[in-house]
Amino acid sequence: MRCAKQTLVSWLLVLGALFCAGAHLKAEERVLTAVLLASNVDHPKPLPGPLGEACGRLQRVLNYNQFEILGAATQLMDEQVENWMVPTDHFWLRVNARRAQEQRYRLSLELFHDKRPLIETDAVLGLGSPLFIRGPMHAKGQVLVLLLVVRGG
Amino acid sequence: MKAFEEKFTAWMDGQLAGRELEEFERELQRREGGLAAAEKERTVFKSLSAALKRHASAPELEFPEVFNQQILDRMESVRERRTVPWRLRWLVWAGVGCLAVAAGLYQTLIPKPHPVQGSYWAEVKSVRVADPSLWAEPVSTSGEEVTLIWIDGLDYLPESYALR
Repeated sequence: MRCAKQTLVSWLLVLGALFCAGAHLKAEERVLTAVLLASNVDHPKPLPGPLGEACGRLQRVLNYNQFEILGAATQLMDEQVENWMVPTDHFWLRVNARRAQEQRYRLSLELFHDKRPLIETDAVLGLGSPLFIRGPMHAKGQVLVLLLVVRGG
Repeated sequence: MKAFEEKFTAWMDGQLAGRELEEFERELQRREGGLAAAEKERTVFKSLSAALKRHASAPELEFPEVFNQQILDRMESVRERRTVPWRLRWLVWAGVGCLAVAAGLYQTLIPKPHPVQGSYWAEVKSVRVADPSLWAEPVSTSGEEVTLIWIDGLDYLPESYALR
């Protein structure tokens, strides 16, 4: 009987640890950045997931029918340090993200193109609310940089 | 009914007396067969009891402790058969534990879809260009919920420029 109680307590401890780990993972917020090429093509391919929804909104504003991901990077939100995010070899970002309030995040970032600093900006983003930066025009289309705060893995 | 049986047993053993005996024998008289049938049954019972006392003496046990232990062991085995076997109990606990671990792993490791959560909020507090040849301005369209920082003055990238 005593052994059964000990076993039950062990199971409960293991279960509690798993749930705590799960809650911790779920609570993690990440900054996601992507460099996109917006263009008009005959057979556009839609982007899946939250990026697709964000680009769907931009499609109606900029009149491009296809958004192609040239590169992407994600970073765990760490309020203490600035992070370098390198979605492609040509576009880099220096990002410091911190919680402003419930589901709002203050991002201080600097965008570089081939080591050349372009802009510095401070913005407050809601969870899952995208911020786009219109970059240079390329022969194949418009280069855009997307920033998004997402929660979870 | 039980009171009658108790009284009948006492009557058979000759333990009823006085008014109680009279009342009980009147009750026997009212029943099927009457008092005579009950008297006959008592006579048979007494002769049988006397015969058993005379002839059916208990055998002498060589090792009475062993006999008692065997009786106790049999009683214990019957009691164990009536309770849930320990293997089944462990099986149930193991099942509960596996379910709990499965639920925990599901909560922890199975990725859930992360839809765009909450209401849209994107506010550009400030924009500074690093190069005076550039110009940057935040643009918001509340209808489409899009916020864009528009940079002008950037060089055109030819097709030979590899974006990836």
